[in-house]
Amino acid sequence: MQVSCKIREKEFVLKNPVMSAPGGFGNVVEYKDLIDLQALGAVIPNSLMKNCGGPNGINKFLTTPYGYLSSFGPNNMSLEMFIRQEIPNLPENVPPVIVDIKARSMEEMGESVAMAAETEQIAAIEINLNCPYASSEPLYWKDWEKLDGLMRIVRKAAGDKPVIAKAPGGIYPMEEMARVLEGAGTDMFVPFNCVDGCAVNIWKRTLQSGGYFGPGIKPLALSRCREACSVFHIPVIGAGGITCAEDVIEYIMVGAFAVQIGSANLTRPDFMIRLVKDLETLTDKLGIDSFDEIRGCASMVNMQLFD
Amino acid sequence: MSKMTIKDCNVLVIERRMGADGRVWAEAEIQWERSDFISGQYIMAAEKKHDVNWPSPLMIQKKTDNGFLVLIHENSPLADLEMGDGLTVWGPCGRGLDIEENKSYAAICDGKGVLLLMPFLNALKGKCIGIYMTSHCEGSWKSQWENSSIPVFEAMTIEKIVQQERVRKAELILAAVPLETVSVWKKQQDSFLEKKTKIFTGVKIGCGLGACRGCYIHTQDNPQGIAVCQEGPYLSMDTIDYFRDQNFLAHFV
Repeated sequence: MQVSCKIREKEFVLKNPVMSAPGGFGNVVEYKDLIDLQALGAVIPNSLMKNCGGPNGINKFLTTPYGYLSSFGPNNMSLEMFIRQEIPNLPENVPPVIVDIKARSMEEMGESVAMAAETEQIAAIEINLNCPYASSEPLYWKDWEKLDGLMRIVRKAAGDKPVIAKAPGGIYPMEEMARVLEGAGTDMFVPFNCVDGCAVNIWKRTLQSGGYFGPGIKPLALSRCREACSVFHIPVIGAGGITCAEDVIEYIMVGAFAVQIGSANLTRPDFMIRLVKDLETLTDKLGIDSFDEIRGCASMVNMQLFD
Repeated sequence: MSKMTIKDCNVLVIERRMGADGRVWAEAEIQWERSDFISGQYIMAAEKKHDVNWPSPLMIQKKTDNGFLVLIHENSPLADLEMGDGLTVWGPCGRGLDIEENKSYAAICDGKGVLLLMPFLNALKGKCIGIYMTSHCEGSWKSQWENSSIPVFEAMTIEKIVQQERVRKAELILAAVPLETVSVWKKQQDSFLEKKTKIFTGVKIGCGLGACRGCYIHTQDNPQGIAVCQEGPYLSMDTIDYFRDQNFLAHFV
């Protein structure tokens, strides 16, 4: 069941609302022989930067009962390498490819966006504001004026390509974020990234910290999505802790246009394919022919005590 | 490398016994019809009991009529598996090691490591010229190998092992030792031996596909590093920068 919205007077259409989140699906090519990528709404590879990045020399990944902590760092090939090497390796009918870009500086962001904008096979550009290794001071997503400047640079560099902004980690003032991002010409917004977390190994007395992702975060992420949908006038993409078709419907019912799936892809590589099928079954059971019928329908007015 | 597949399957049989390290290991037969894996490859397995089921890597020991055997350490998240439990499995993962027909090898390991080397000991008995252990070999394992004419040398220091003539003459060394032992070994700066040593590289493996970046380690050849889950888990010892990545290298269970 497709979803569509108008972006800069053009229809932006996805065959379904399910797309991978950056960091949860490798560079997409790792899955091409394993699952039918064409079944997905869109695909987003791991975050890309202007230069390739090496591994973080620490414990990068720790599973917890309801999520995981990760600090992979900027470990990926460069954007240029992805465009040159990996995009040609994707299947012919791959769904829209959206690149998620991080940068150490505003200037670097502009350069990377311009490169992505010139690539025909890239359908949209996501700017990831969760970049702990950025070098500007103050960090560009922690200063409204800088963020405004950044997004204007991005808007100009992106040309006609849709620009998606993905929230920084943690909690931020939503109304201010909407004012800055929409004012600078952002086309879509992903309101949740991760929160800081840590865990302690009591036997070794060591501490591990990182971004916390996974189903444990879903109530918070869903709440942020609801808040974003009530404030933003541009489409909002829900993300955070989705593990089943019911979760997808929850996000759409609070107003999301589509959803990103991250951590759940680690539980089994074909997770999203099964999710798309389950979503079809669930929409039949709900008796809906289009997600537009239910988008934003959940409200406090209709709130009942959970059974 | 063989094409990877994903399957929902069951634990057919499971038996717990003492490992060569004196800890409890579960030997499980997992139902899967594939036979095109090579020694050193593993699968990713996620159970279905909990709300969230993160996968764990399990080294494929050997083929059976209905699937294959894996060994599960008592500290593994899968240690509580029972007969009939459902699993989501994908693989085979990793590059494995296709040991040439006429190549002999020596095994250097501790009690846990020897069970990580079992796929080779199972498949290539005749080619193993000796198992050199840095710890005692608990349980009945020693006699099992000696019955297959593989001599077992216990409780040797790594410094002594690497000086053994038979070890130095072996065409290939397969090693699975704790990080502390690797540290002492690396300090020998014995490039002759390191070049022919394939060492088990224990890191946290998140996906088995090279996608999540959780298992990447530094290497001189590639600024992005290499994915242990794809290229390993047995890697050439001279390519691994142990001192740079020592904070997260450990045995995986």
